[in-house]
Amino acid sequence: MSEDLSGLDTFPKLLVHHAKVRGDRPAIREKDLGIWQTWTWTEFADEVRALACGLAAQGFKRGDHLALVGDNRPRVYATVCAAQCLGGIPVPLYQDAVAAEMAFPIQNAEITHAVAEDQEQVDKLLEILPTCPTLAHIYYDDPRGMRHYAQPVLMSYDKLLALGHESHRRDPAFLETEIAKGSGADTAAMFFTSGTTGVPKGVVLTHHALIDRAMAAAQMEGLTDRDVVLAYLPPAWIGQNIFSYAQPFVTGYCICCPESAATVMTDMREVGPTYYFAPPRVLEALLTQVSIRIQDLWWGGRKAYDYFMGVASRVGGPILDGQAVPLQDRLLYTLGNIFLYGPLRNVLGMSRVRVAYTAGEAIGPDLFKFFRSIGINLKQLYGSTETSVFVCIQPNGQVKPDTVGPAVKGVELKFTPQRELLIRSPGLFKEYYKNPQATAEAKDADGWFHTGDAGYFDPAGHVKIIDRVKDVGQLRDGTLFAPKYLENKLKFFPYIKEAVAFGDKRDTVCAFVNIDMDAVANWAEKRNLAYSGYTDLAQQEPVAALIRECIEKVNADLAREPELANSQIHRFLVLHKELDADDGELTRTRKVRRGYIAEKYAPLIDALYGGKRECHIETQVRFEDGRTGMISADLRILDATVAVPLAKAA
Amino acid sequence: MQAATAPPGQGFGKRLVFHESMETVEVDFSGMTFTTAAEVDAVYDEIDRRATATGRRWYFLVIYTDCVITPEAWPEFANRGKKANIDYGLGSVRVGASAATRTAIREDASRAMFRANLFETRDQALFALAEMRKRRAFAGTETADAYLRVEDVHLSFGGVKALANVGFTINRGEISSIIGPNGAGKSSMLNVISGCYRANRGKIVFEGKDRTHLRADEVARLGFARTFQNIALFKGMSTLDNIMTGRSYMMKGNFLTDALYLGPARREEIRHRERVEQVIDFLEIQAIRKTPVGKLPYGLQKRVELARALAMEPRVLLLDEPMAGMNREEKEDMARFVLSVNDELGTTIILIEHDMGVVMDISTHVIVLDHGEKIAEGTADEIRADPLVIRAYLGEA
Repeated sequence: MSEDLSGLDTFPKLLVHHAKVRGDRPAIREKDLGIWQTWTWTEFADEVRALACGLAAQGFKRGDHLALVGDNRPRVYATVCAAQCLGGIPVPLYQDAVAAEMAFPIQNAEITHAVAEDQEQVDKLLEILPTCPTLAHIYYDDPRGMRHYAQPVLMSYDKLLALGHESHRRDPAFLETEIAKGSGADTAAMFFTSGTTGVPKGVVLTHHALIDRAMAAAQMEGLTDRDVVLAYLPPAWIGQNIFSYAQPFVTGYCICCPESAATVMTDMREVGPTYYFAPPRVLEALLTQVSIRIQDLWWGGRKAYDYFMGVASRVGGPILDGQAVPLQDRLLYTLGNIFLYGPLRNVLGMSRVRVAYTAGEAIGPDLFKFFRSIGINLKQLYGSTETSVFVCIQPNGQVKPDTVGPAVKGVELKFTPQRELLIRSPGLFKEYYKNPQATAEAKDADGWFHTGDAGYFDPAGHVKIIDRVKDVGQLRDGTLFAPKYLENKLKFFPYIKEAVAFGDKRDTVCAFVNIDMDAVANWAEKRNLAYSGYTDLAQQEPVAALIRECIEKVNADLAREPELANSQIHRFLVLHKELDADDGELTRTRKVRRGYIAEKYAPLIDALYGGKRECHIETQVRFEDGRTGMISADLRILDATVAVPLAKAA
Repeated sequence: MQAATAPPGQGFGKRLVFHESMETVEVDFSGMTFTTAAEVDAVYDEIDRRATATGRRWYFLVIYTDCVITPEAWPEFANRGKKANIDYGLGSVRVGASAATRTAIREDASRAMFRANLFETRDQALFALAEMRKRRAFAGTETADAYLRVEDVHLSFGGVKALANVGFTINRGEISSIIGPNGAGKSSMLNVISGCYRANRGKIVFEGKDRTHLRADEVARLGFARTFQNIALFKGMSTLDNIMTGRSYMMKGNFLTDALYLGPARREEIRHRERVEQVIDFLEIQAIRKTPVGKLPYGLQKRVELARALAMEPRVLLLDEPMAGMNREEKEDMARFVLSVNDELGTTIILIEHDMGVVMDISTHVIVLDHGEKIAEGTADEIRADPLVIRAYLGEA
């Protein structure tokens, strides 16, 4: 990034700049009808211009809010920029939310215009339209199934563009004037945090905050306009907006939108991104896929895999860190690179990845080391919606599995005595929309943001996050109880998809476990175990024994850490249904909602601590179309062997 | 509200609104009471007079809210309505009828073979009306004419009588189901329509022309596409290639340009590929584009088979047990796609299906075969209650 971007303090101004300076370079690609279609910066700017003029003609004014619902596609980002050109505020919503969940953000932000991708999203908006009096215009992108819809509130995206072209013809100077009126202090976008508890809050972020943080991180990693990024995460999530909107606008690199959710992996292989982000969940799934397929190899193949992965785990990480490594090991690693690591990176689509981040929740150390050992520069970062993402990033060469790195340039950090992390940064949000009380609770008078995360600095000055402050508890004997930490250790096993640990103010730790359908089904088939579905498989004895083995391995690990030795898992059960965001058990970003789960499954928790061998449970579930039903099961409760602590706590 | 005891027909004229642009006359019977045939006649005479004076045909939008028709008045009411439709009507939609009136209308509709077209709100009725007008404009012919007519078809294999005296009519844009117990002759009927079998006797008339003696490939060129009960895909080829084979009869080109992939061949290939990709997009199977079909699960193979049939851009789609072997979710998906095909592409669909739930939910018209003969025909609701059909499936009591 060698150009001077000072004075370009809003995203629309940056767009105008790129259209001038690199108008023919690709800005966005989308795979449609089987081929990658490209929009150059000039074409993208043209679409934004037409769209902005169209919106203005439809009455969208400075300060208005515009909702976006749908999957990644160029028109999403065009809409975001078009709204910003007019001084309006885009509010992206999760496309897999049910209609009722979308009502609050629309009412809270008093949204007047909404751009929906297809009939499914339009139906949801129409369903809540009576409760959202401010919503006056719904634009739809995909006309499929929309022929019979005659509601006056609907208009097709193409028609909006046509209106825009017409309007621009009549008044060519209008848009330039509007863009010039914007400044860095204006609100750029609003994101509703799904929140693991309570009602969503609208986080208000300014152009300056987003641009500042995007630039700081881009400079740190040396991102240029030759980089390529895959845009596959939900557009409602701040991270997706940073990697596929803020940073491209600041550097000029190209983003690629895959064809559909089911084709992300193949599309990634075709694109070969150079800069990649994946939440730990996605990395777990990738590792599970790899493990399953390796198990299908013949005996010799498995042996070779084990051997070379051994080499990699010994030597791969240090090589990537640029450390000195014995020559023989280096040669072995190079051999492994040709036969295993290179092809493995290729299959994962990560052959060209220079920088890969993960964040969102703590990642299992073994999982993290796996990717680094095969030559993928995976690093951890820390941040949140309220901080425009980049707070801490691990620099190259200082990558450790259990920390999130030092503060990024411009960020100040400190810990309270309760171990809560406080942050001051130019990327901080302005406020929670129309919620001064929550804002005052989060941001104190000196401008410090209370993150709600607990942690401490490690000897090298890197931040180590252990859990949410309110979840970190204590067993009755005073032992530190960090449920997330335990759950992550369990989730590293491919057979365990989700886990919830209980133990605060109790004598011992107990856990719920969700099996991973793909991995356990594969395992079961190899042992000729018959099963008729998830619930049936989850309740079989051999599966319970398998999970018990995993738990006992975790216990053995915990026994080695003096502070946590007493928080080993004593009893557990395998849940009959997967925890799901549609049932309120997980957030939309797939984080466990502890309080809600404790309430809903209280009988099971009582049975665990009451020493019972089994427990009957009935739970209400919600299907994807909104209908509800009941699932009941008798769950077996098992004891796990607890290892003897290796060393006494200091 | 006006009672029909006022001077015959007088004042009723106010309840007739002629919407020129929609070719529709709105007949407002709301709040009226008909107790005698004479009252009915008085009102209908007025309607007849006004409508015939315009010299053209009209669609009817009939409002029945709070309208009471006694059993004595009903036969005359039904007759006059039917006569009006024959004389100067193009079709009717009805709004707001009470439960009793709805039942009466449906009975009449089944006897006289017309559509009941009952709706709850005026908006819904207007949508249906718009659809009817669109379809008629598209077809270019009167809706009274059949699109596909099967007359008196007989088919025997040696001594085995597969079909005997089967005849029915399919209208354009319908989803018709052929149902019946195993061995009833359903697949044979489909094979006769698609040209795989030659009927021993009988006629198949498509768009007014006799098509009985066409071969299967000629039938395909006419715009008929079919799927097979046991899946007839090329298991070793990818999904994309299988769907491309559906375009084969539309491919021209000569050996030389094709072999060397020169200009015209290249352009044609791109054109066909684009259409195939649109079908892939329509049926949401992008993720399995390059997968060999033999590796796909059964439900997806059926979808690929449907995609291949769609790639032929058919006007009539013959589906042979499209939901066989699927679980509930897969059936719902397939039903959704079938409905989309009918709704978005306007394709007429004839399907053979065993799952009664599916048949009732998505068909507009049902034909029941048993032992090679047609034993019933009508709407889904009528068939469900028909004693002959119940006996055929469940056997004699």
